[in-house]
Amino acid sequence: MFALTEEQTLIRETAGRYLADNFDFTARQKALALGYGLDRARWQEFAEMGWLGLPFAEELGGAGGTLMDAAILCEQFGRFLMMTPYATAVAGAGHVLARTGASPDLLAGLISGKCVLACALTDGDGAVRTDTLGQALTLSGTKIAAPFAGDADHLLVSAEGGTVLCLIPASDAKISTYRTYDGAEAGDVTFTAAAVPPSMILSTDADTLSLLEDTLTALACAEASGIMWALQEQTLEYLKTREQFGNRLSSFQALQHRLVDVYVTCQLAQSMAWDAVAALEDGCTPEERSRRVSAAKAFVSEAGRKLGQECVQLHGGIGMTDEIPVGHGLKRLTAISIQHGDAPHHRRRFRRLDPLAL
Amino acid sequence: MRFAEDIESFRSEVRDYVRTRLPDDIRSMCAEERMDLPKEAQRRWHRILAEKGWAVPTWPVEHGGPGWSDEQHYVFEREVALADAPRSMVYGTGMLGPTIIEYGTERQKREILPRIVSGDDFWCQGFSEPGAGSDLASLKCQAERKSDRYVINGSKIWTSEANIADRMFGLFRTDSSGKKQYGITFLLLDMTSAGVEVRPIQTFDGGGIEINQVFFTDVEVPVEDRVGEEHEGWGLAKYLLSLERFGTAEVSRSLATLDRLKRFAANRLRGNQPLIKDPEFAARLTRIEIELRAVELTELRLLFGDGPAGAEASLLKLKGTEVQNDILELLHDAVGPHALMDPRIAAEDRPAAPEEARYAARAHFNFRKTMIYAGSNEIQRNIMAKAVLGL
Repeated sequence: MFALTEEQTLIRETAGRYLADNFDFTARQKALALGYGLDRARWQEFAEMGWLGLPFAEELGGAGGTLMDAAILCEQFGRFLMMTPYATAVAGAGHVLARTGASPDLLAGLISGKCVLACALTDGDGAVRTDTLGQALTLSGTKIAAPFAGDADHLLVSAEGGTVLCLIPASDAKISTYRTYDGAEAGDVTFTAAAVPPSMILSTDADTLSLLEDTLTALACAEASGIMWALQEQTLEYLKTREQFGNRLSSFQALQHRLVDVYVTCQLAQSMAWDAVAALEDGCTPEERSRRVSAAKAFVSEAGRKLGQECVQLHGGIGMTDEIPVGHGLKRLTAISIQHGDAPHHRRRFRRLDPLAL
Repeated sequence: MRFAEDIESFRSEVRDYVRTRLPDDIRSMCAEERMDLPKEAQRRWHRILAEKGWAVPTWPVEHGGPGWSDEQHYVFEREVALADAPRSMVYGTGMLGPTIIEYGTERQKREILPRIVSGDDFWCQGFSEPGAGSDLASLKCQAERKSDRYVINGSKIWTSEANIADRMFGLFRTDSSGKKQYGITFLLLDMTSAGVEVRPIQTFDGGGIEINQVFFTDVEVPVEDRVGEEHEGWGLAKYLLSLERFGTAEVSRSLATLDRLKRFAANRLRGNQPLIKDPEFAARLTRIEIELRAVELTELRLLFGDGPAGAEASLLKLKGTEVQNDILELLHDAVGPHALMDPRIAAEDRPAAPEEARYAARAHFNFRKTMIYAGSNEIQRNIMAKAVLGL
């Protein structure tokens, strides 16, 4: 976890160039004016570039990379505030499909970009429950704020408080979609006795859901880390050019020290994010994995949004406008801070998993 | 964090040796967060390490060091701290030795280095002055060249361990005609020299004496006790201050303190439940523990990974000392009202109270210094603004 491999450096550079050429802030603003959902044509390009198969073994049709490779890509998506189902559907859910060996056809579909998956894991007021129907299960209840649910062909759904994890065609649910403030689209998903055949039940224990949640959370930390670096660079650059009282703002010591603190926070968050991803791959116990991921998410949730607020503040008036990325970065960091469990949730989980068991 | 097998077996070797050989009285002083260990105790521990060849961990083999890799050094420092053993002696072992190895004459290497390894000489560092703290290069304490010797007049302040040191290395003004960084000379002197007077400074924490003011009246230093060129001592000082790549974040020490804090809070009742189960306390504890983890992981990444060159020491010192102080503040709060006991009360006059009550307040107040010394945290921010952000 201490340094990037040659391939990871290459992924970082290639993705950075591609996103700078095709998805800079102006392009992002234009795209958002047209719609908040998934751009399927763009998604096919990602598939052709090999990104969708990046973290999967070659025998599964992937590129034979690691989850850390995918995390590096997520960091770059973060830098460009690129809103896609990549982290949730491909790297996250795909990672769990690959680890459980469930539904190889679906995984192949994810890698080719033909099939899009959404994770519906957050219970609404009516939690999703199951009933048995012969060998199959039926789902009833509501999941809320599932990212890109409206674009999905399949849904990965947790039920019974997380002890059941299953796949279901999106057409078997009623999905009402809405825009989210970070430039994405989410959906509330309602099931009414929707049938799930046995082959689509991925697990009936909480461990698989915990693995899925840890994966999604670690990748969200990586994305946040990329956003934080971008905001740090943009803010530093702006304060180097903006003049007031006859001096560049960056010449004032009070502001220099705040810029240093922003930089320090980026370094700490980067370490935490990489450790969270490493925890999923370095063979530690599930308890240790979850504890490391929770430490990272608690840190990134709080430090990330605070950093975003600080960068808006350091920009001054221009920071309040919709015309520059800094406010959009703050919005995405704020969204991440409450997705996949907020800081208090992860602090409680971290405390509960303390090996000292005090 | 686990390293490769050979490093992990080295870790076990260090752990076994340190835990077996660390004397109880020394361990209990360190466990009470004391940094003002008596000279005798420091020397005793130094010599126990010297038996194993570990007394001067950063030195090369030819001068009596173990010639360790960065990983070995990192692991050694961690294990020493977790066992509540004393830090290596920073001034002779950590600073002067490597500087002499780099810049000293053959005679200086021959005469000075073995006496550090053996624990015969304790050194102190004469850098800060009443008018030169963060702005160190504006120092004025004068060393006037008179044929084959320098004559020192003036004073140094905040000199740690001057009250127990045998010798001092210091920066003295030999020329004030040019730029302030020019005209500074690096000299070595005996604390028993005629004209040296040490006045201890009591710190507000109420603990033992750690810092002093040192006055010089016509103190004579032979020219051969100069390190490097006359007027060119600033470069040596910069070299010496850059040596401490490890440990500036105090992560190992903080991990040991945090562990003590957690065990204390688990056994201490507040109301009818252990303090550690109190939601407000648990939230504070967890925040701090996670913050320390962020510093620990960043230290590992910057030391062994792809970190930016140069900025490590400042970043780690800054965040590490902040979280260290947060831990000790929480320990003070966890102890509660008995933390109010003045640390100078004799053992037989103390009320019945948990052990931690003896030192929690002293440690909490005393450690404020870590954010001030070795380049205050504001200076670290200045350094990073310049070196990392290019401001």
